Amino acid sequence: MSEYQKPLPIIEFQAQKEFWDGCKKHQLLIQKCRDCGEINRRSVRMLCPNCLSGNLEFIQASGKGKIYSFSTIMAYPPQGFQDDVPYVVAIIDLEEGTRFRSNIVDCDIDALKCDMDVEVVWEDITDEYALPKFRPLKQGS
Amino acid sequence: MEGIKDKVAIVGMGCTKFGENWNMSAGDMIIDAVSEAYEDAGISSKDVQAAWIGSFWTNLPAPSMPLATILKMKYKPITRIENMCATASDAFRNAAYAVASGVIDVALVLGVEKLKDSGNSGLPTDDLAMGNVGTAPGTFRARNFTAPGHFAMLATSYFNKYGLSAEEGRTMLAKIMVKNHHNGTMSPKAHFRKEITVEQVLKAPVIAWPLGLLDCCGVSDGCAAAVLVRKDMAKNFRPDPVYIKAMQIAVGPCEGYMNPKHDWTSVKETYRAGQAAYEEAGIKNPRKEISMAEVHDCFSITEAAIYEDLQFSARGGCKEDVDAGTFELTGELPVNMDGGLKCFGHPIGATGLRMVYEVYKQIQGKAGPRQVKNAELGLTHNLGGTPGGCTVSVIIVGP
Repeated sequence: MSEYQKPLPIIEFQAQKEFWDGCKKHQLLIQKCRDCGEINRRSVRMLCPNCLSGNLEFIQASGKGKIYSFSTIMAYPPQGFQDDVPYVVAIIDLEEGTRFRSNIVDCDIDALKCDMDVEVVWEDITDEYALPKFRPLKQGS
Repeated sequence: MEGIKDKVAIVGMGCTKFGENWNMSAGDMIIDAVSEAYEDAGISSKDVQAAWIGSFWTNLPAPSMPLATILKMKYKPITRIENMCATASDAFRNAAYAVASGVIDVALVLGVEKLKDSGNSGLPTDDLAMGNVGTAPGTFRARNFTAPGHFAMLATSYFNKYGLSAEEGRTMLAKIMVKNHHNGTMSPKAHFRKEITVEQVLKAPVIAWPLGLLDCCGVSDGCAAAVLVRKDMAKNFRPDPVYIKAMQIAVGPCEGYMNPKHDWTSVKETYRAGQAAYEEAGIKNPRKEISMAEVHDCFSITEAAIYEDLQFSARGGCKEDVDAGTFELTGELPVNMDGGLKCFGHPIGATGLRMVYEVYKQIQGKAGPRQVKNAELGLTHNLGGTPGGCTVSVIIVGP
């Protein structure tokens, strides 16, 4: 998998490494503050954005949520993504009360709708990294 | 808080032709726009006490220094401003505050951008663009999202919330683009000056569903400039100065990408900046009191959301107002009289001042075939970023 040509995550501090290590194990992790109890809705942080405590823990998200909004990119993708066109970008509202930006894959693009139930699916891109993407939840699952 | 109302006057403005200005450097465009502004104000560089230059991507090494040479402003204070796509509006704001403080009597402000030299058909590369926002340290990276993709999600949400089919929604948006192109035919300085039809918009290649090619603004080079002075000096320069009534910027915390309560049919920063500007200018009923507006139609859906966030239309009322022709040149509240970003393109650092240039000319009755009736209070709305988190400037000027 060494020929992966698209951008890779940038890791600048320990908590970010923990997040991506979780992805590698196919676990979608979100941060929660042990002091004030808030879910961190922002990207991975060293301090709680609500109370500035450094006492954060990762909890595992269910990986289930709903499509809040989406668009199908049909032209002019950023460098490295030319062969993916058309592909779907979306904002997903996770069950835990936070949002996530990702792609909707394994889907009938024309059948996508807002509020559609989706679940996380993992794309193993290198020996170290897996990307969380989402696909429509199959009926009855 | 006293606010800026009636403390600062615009006494001269200039604007280059926007377009593929291959034969002009950023410096050439600066000279053209500033020369027009100087002539309009009856001054030269020796009268200017301080200058502000707005530029985002233009490859000007130490961008304030060229002004000292190009404009012969040796050893004068020159400041470069960057605030994403609202860069020129923020340069204007900083210059106006300096004049309002009483420290500077005569200030020059300009915005310039040369996008066509970037080597790309769209905006400069994602690495450069997103290095500033989406991939900055501590943010989730969203590397295959594009600018049209971000704004397209505003349209998807809008259609979903108000129960519009894709065809109904896309037709509503197409009518806004047809209006702006019609206005652009009367703008000698616009990049695109052709009429388009609703059918052409709907059948154009899709860029980011539900937005097609003709829902997107162009990519252009351009420069615009203004000369600002204290109110009590303004009539020494010209009989018809235009006064700043309000000048507000709202910068969002990117909640749209994080908080499920954030509604993507609206851009909160537009609403907040608008509210603050109305308060500063003493405006109670924007739809009735504002004569005209130049707004940030980077994409068709952006203009639709702006109507509602600036309270020109009720929530969900865009379609009804568009169908009634409310925002056409002859309508109740003309919007994008010069054709907007749609026809001028969007040279990032110049756009905000191009907008002010149009309302300034309209208020002076010098807009030619685009002239609106009873042009009094003019509003400009300039947005930098994406609907999930952005910088919005709202400026209101009047006689």
